[in-house]
Amino acid sequence: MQSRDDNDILNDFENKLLSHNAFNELVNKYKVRLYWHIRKIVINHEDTDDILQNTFIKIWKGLPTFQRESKLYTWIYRIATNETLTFLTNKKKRNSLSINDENADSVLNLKSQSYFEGDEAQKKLFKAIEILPDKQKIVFNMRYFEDMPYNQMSEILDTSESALKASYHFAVKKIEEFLKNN
Amino acid sequence: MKFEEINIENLKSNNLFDIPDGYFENFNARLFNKIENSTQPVIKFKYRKLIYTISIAASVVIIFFLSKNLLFNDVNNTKFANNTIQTTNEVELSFIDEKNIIDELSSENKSVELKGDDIINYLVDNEIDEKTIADAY
Repeated sequence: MQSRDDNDILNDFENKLLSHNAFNELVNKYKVRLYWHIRKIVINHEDTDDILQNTFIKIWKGLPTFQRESKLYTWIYRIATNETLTFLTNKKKRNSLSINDENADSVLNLKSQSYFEGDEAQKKLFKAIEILPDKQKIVFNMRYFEDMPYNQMSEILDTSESALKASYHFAVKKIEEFLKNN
Repeated sequence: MKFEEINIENLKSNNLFDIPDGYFENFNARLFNKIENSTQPVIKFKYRKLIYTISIAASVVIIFFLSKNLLFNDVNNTKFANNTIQTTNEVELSFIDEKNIIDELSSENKSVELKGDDIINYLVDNEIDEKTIADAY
């Protein structure tokens, strides 16, 4: 079934009788895309699930005051990205407190995770991505895995296109370097 | 291994990670359940805040009354203590009548008058010689 335009869904959401169904439609439209957007950054399924749910809860709470100044798609992605960044920051804080945390390095445990089906080359790639700073990791993933145009990334991340291009370029260099040395 | 060798289309696919069966199918139901639960704590929090306020107010009232009672008890205890002292004094004094008091007072000031041989007998009885008398004066 072809999903409706975001504006049509928003119009329905403003009607109290239709808001629940409209939100349900919105979740169906974006849940898979957002899931993979988050999953490729945090790796772990359970963490992804938590972040995705929190993202949609924030969307649910924020939709009544959404001004339509930006595209709904952009706004939703921004919430998901910020939630992911917050999660990563908190995780680093937790890990710095408990050195022996078995989830301290999710990528190193990639193979042991029952939900990872990648081969050795893919594992290596994700190890390389893991060395990137969080924001650069997000830039790389959005460009590399999601093929997102720079102008969309610019709206979501609130960063200039030239800065994003530079960030992606440096991310690729770092990954190449990592793969050469490992 | 070169980056170009890894940078192939299948690496970009979502097949890198498996997901639990029926995850996306059940996602909406779980999400709406969580949304309902996430709105409840707000109400609970409000109640909790109210309960905290009431508890603090109740504690203040209880502390006030306890301190007041303790204060009154202290005052009463002081009064009781004073009463006890007063009563004790009264009881002790009840054994002493006026006559006893007069006798006691008059006995303290009573002087013994001795004349003639009585003086010599008193000095002999108490073994007081001339030297003792001279030393005393």
